[in-house]
Amino acid sequence: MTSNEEVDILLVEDNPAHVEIAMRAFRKHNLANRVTVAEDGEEALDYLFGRGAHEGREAGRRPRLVILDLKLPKVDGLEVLKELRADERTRLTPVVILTTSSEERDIVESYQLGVNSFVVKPMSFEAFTKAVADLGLYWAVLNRPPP
Amino acid sequence: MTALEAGPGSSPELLRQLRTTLAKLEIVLGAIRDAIVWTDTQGRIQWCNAAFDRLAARPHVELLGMNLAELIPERSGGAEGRGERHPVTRVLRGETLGDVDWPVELAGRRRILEAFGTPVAIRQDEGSAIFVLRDVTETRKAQEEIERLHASVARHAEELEEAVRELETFSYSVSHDLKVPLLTISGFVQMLREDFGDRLDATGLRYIDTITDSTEQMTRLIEDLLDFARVGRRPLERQRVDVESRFREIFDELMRVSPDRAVRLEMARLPGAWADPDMLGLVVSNLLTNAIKFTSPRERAVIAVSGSGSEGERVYCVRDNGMGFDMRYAHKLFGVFQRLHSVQEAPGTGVGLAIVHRIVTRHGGRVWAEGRVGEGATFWFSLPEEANVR
Repeated sequence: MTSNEEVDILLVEDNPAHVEIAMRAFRKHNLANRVTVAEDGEEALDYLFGRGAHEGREAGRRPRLVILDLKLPKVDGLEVLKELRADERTRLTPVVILTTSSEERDIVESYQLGVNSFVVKPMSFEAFTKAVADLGLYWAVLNRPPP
Repeated sequence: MTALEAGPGSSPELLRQLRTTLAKLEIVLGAIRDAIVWTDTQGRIQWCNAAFDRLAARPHVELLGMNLAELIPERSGGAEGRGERHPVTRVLRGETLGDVDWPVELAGRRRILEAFGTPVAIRQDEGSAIFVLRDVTETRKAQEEIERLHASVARHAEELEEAVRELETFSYSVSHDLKVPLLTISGFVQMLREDFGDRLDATGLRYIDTITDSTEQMTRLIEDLLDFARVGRRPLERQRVDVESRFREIFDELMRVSPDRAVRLEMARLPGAWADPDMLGLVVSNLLTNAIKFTSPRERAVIAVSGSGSEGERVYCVRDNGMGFDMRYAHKLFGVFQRLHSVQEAPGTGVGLAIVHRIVTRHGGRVWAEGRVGEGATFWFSLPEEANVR
């Protein structure tokens, strides 16, 4: 289990095959050991707020980035985003939505709930890998997080 | 001079004038197609015209003296004209009826009469009533038929629109769901190649490449299907669009991503159109993309764009000197996934023209094409002007 200081990216994705592809992309850019995976909305919230399965974890400035799918079991992506933004501790955490949907109403609602970026999951391996790597590198390395 | 001698103001003269006037009136009343009948306060027929004779299908002399209410009783079984509500009864009671529909049975046939009736007082003590009846049976039947047809057409149009909307929604959701496993297949095949490619011989690698090509084709198909589905879902936001600059912009953009091609655009002045700018952009983009694609074997590719306009509509024309198509299959041109050329001749999934057709049809316009194998193709589309948009 990586210590709290090292985890920069929380990847919330229910499809294990897609998780594997994403982790491969992160590995190529030396980001893999800074990634934690949550398989559904409930686990994501547990992790972010240090409760349930992740009791004891301190909610706070980490992770530096949440990559969030919209279609999730138990608690869906928009609900997770809403709760994130509602809590003072996580209100400023950068969130990128990475999802298959390109529906305008999903995009609008996401931005209204305070998402930082909305990316439509590409269908091809190359494009998906590049997108994941670009996101990770930008938000976890290049971007200055909120202090 | 006695009163019996002819001269202005004398009795014979007045009598003659009277007779002439009466004769004229008889002729006029006889020529009128509406049935006119004059009754006393009991409803007994005192006079009627030839049209009434025909309506009642009885000799004139037989009708005189008959009671109108007995001649035309209420239609058996009908709520209309029963007793107190019988038009004759109402008029005799002093009511004026204005063109009410009166279902009757006359001479053994069911009719609908449009009835006008009013009490008349010629002299203080002598009351009467006059009725004007028009047989509107056929007219009412025709009107009902028209209404039935209208309703039927409206229903069919609604059903058709509903079916297309369902198809679009289905295409949209299925395409989205297909994306998920497609990413997995594409991803794992690539990972297989990267991680185990060195353990595969040429045949094994070919198998992998074949899978990869297929997933790429599937990706394109899904993207095109999504484009097609998307086209019908947004409501149209029409405004005046500068079509000429749309063609110019989109052509420049398309040429920017194909720097190796030398294509000349010959464009005359184009009239503006009343259309949704984004949708029109898609039409222009698809037609130009096709023209550029199908002129690839030409050394000197030329695309000629022209347009004309009348008050009712605008018509635009895109002509290329490319490989053309066989007119025998022209009716398939605008179908979804219909292709008239092999993938080697021209890449593409065959959705572009289906999108053009859908967009133009939604605007109330038409799209059609002509071509000749080896000699190029011409595409026209029309857009109705603002005043003509239903």
